[in-house]
Amino acid sequence: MPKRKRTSPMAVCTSSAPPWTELPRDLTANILRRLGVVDILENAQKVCTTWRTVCKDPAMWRVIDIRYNGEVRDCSMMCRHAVDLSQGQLIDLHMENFGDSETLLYVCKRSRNLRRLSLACCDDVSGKALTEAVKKLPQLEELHLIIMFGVRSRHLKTIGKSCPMLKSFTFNLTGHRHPHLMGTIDDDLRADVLWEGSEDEYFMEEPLYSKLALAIAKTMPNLCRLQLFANYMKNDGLQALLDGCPRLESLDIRQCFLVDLSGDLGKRCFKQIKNLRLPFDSVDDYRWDAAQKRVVTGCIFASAFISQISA
Amino acid sequence: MVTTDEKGPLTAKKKSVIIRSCDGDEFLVSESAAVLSTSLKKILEEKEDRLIHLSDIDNKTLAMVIAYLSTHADDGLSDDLKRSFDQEFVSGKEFDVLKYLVLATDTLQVTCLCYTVAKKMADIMKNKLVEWVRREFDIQNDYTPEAEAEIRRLDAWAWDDRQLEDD
Repeated sequence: MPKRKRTSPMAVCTSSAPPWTELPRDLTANILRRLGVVDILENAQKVCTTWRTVCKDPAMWRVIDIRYNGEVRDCSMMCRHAVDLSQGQLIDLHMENFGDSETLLYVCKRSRNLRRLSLACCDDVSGKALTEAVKKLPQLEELHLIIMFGVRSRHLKTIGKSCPMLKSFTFNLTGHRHPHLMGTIDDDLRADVLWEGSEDEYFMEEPLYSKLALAIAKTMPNLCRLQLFANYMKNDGLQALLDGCPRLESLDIRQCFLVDLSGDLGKRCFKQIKNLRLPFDSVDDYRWDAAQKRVVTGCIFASAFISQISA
Repeated sequence: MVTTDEKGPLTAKKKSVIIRSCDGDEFLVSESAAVLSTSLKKILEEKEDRLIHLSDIDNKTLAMVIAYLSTHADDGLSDDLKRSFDQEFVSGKEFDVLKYLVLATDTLQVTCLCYTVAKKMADIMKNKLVEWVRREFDIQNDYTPEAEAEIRRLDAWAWDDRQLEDD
């Protein structure tokens, strides 16, 4: 290797590090991208014009992950702005604890390349809006719905039909504190106040056990991964899933306490599914509300009694 | 990593390379460690030369990168140990040191270390106000007052009362 003196500033190794604005652009982008949407929009892009230019590159906005954390911010507006910056290059979107139907429609209309959509606790997003939104996403391969009480089995049917590429699907409800009471509680014990998208309204309409699983089995035949946390399905629902989704490799049915795996269905599950999480498996690695507690019978009755008098 | 075995029995011994920093220090590195850097791998594939001179990486930074490469080339270490080594590796380092490191990993194309360092730098920047970043990173505010006002207007949601907290 020829040993010649270089005169570029990089070769002068005894000087201090090059100024920030002279770092290669890709490298700056690599660092700033890791800050996340909120920090980029609120701070990084305002530091200097070089960083502003880096942050305006649509490639910076292929992944958007916004979580409302209680600070006073208009996350919906921020989300729209980030999507505008992506100029249609967005491939992965996660919205948590914020957002309404209009924002979701706005985002999906501008993101034809979206592959992965994940919505968690977006109480103001209706099932109807979601069905409309996914129609704009021909490339969608992953859809994750976590504690989205506005979405019903009838919506899932339409969603399944609009997304033939869907390979991974999640539909998680809140965990159960009292597994033994699952499916036995009288409807009127749940609550008498109903509002659109509320948990109570959801259960008034959807506790019909395997309805949701049947909708998935019927309309999402290409699924490889499925998570149905704390779902009310019974054995007929699980059976339908195994029949309807032959490519299923990974199945998570933790806290689906109405499923009985002691018989042939259990054997079939173990045979057909490579990666199987069972109803009573640990929820330690589960990020969302998984409030399953081991309770003694006395406590169950006590809590049922308390719910009854408070209702 | 399997090395091409053309030179007979000699290669059965572990091959090594000498890497020289821009200030002349030389480091003896096993080839299995060196090839974890995409750039070094390319150089080794193209030349017989066992001495590689890096004209833009100083000895301190090079020593760190080589420590990283050697650890990751060690088959005896579990992935968990390597992960905790990575965490340890970037923690407590001065910002300027990280900047040299990220530049070196970019030049040498050590992708995983580049990510780790970039992540660490981003973590330091997280939740810091614009003024803090400018001051700590010694970045000149080159916005004109008009341009700054325009940005504030465009990103109205972002300029909440948090900016008053800056010391």
